[in-house]
Amino acid sequence: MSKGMQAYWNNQTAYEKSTLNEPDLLIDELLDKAKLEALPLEEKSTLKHIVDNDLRSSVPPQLFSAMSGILKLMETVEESEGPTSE
Amino acid sequence: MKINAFFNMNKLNQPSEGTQKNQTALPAGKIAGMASKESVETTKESIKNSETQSSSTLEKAYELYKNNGIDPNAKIMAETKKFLDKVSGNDKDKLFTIEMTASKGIDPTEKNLTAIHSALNDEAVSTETIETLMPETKMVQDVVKAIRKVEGHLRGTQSVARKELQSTFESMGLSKEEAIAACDVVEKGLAQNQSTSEILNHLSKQFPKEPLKGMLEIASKLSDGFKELKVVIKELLPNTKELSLAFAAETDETLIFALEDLIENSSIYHNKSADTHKKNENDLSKGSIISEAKGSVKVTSSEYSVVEAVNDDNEDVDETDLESIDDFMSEGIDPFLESLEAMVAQVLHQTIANYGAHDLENYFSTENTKAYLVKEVTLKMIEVKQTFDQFQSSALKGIETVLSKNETMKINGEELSQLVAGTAQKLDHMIMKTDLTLYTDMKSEKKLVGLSSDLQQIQTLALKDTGKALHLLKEVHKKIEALVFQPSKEKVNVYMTQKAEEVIGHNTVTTAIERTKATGGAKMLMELIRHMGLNHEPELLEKMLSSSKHDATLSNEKENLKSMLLKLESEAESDPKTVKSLEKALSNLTGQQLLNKQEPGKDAQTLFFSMPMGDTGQEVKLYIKSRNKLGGLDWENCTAFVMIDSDRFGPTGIRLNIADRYLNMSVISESDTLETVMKPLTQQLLADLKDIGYLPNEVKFLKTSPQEEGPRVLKSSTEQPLVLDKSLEEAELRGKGFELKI
Repeated sequence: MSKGMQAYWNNQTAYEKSTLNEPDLLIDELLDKAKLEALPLEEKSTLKHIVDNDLRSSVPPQLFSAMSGILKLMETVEESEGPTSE
Repeated sequence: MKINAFFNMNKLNQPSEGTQKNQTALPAGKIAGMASKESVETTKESIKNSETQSSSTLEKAYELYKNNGIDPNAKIMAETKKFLDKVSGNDKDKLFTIEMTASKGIDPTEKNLTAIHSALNDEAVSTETIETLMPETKMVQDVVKAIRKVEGHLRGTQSVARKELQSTFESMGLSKEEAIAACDVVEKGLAQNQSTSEILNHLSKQFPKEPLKGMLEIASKLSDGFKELKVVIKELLPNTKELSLAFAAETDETLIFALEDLIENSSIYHNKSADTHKKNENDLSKGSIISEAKGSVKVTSSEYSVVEAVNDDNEDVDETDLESIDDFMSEGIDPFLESLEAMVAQVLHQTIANYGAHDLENYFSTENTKAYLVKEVTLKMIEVKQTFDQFQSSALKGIETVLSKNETMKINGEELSQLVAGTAQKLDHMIMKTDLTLYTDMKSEKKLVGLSSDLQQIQTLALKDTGKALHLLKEVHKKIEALVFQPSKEKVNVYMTQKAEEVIGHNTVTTAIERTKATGGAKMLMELIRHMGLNHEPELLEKMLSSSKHDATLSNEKENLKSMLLKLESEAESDPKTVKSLEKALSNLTGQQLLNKQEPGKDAQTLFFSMPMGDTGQEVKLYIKSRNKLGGLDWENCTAFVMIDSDRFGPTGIRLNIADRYLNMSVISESDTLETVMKPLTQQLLADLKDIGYLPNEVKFLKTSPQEEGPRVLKSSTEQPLVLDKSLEEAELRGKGFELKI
């Protein structure tokens, strides 16, 4: 179980823990809820690999900032004056 | 040259040394031993009969599973075979997909394998692709727009409308007679003050043939411009009788009236201090929309006070809450809010120009539309200001507690490190998970990210030199104290424009993606990822778990590209061609999500994104490999590779090697001129990277010739024979493009 899921898990109330003692059940609950609301979701075999990876928590802002800086640099390079590649 | 040809991670396709040793042909008996006879026979027969793949590919796949600790049972092999048969491309690429899937511990189902293969090999899902996939999107917008026009016509503000609506219906597959009848439904609905959404629902019932029905249902959803406002209000004012009345409102106008009633009737409004009330009366007497909005916000933003007041009319209101809101209104963002009306006018003008919707000018110029935008932005600004204030106050308090504790009783390094970790976590949460950084400028965002790096440095330093760590902590305290929340006009404009587009039914996920790309920064990248739906499921789970007894409604979740595609896929069953195209786009997005699966038990973590960027939608692929830090990525020790299909300079790769924050950058391109243009511009990037905590070292420009076959020779700009240094060992150029070894 990853950090994100662990944090969620730890936050569950005793009641919830007694009824949901496996992350698998949590995914089932999500699937059931989505079905009730007619909200299409991935199949469980796919969902279980992606539901527990909140990129807002697992990727530090420094890394996104650096990547964004590179993209910005390339954009500036594209728009700047100067010779174009032959 | 397409980026996917250039960014060809073929090195990964080569089995590792250990794998090669085991690369003997898989005996049939071996397969037989792992599964039921029937399925094995099926697999064997399939391999034998297959015209599209060699049996050795399946055997290699079998070995790859084994080498990655996966039991290649009959079910897995059958799924793998389906994948090998289904997808196009060479066996090397397919095996690479299998290896990636296996190494990340992902179930090797045909669907997962296909998704990962698509993410690695297909073009990014661009906004253009989406529009091509869904011509309905434009038609849906046309219907909404045409209905708005009829609405304007009925109100006497527009002249020609019905004819256009009729023509739109005909273009959607209705006969002339049907189109006339549909126009009647619209006019009747408008005359009865039905909302656009209601009218569309009537139409979909009256003309239940596809694809019109599906389009009308989508249009009905798109037209609900007040959906988000309802969500915000619900968050601010949970569980009140008045709120439920507001929610019963079906149209934009009735919602506004219901809200106004709610605000005016709530006891808090009447219990305000005489001065505050007088001030508001003065403001309102000027007829200012801003004042009106602020008046409303003063109440609605004082969350718990309102709830208490509404729930128990006899209770006294805590004036402190009102004062605190008045305080920040006068301190920080008041001048900003004062300029909102002008900004709104500018945004509306620009939106009309962008869409050539001059005929909508009257609709736009209504006071309701302006008031709506002003209210939306004011509410949002107050919300993010509160987020900022909460962080600032709690971070300062936390640091002060640590410092004061240290004065009375020296704290040890480990304790200090742990105490600071909490503050660092809160800061990262604020940057990445709240809306604050969506509305601050780049400079402010950099300051916050830089502070996050300082706090992490303190955590490490505390274990080595507590004195130095405490000194740095005092510096950080000063920096946090000096922070001031300043909304960025540019970013608020983006938000307002989105809202304005919603009003005319033009706001789609694709326009949201386009607008987000224009802003920049860490949060921009995260938002882009969210708009694409690459964080869709974790956010659904979060929503479900954040509510007590899991009673939250998932469908309130903000629309993103993936959720939209999933909905369309489930609704488009009758059109196999559309379903196939949707599946392809969905597969690409899901593949990226699977590749981004984090594995707490492994030493290395990886990320992979493939997305369109820039005005012309050039494709960008981001690949990051990092040391595992608490189950996530380590920004201080990682390798990042960005591949861009540049219009001017051709395929270009930028590689960052980061070790203990020291950063080396290499730019690799076929272009002769890229270095001349880019070199002076890299200084700003390096300065920015330094601001956020990196220690930039050097930038290298490497050139490769596109004509050469086989391993390419990298040449430095000085034409000296280049010995591949450590940082480039993994970035070899071979064949069509870079090979990136994991």
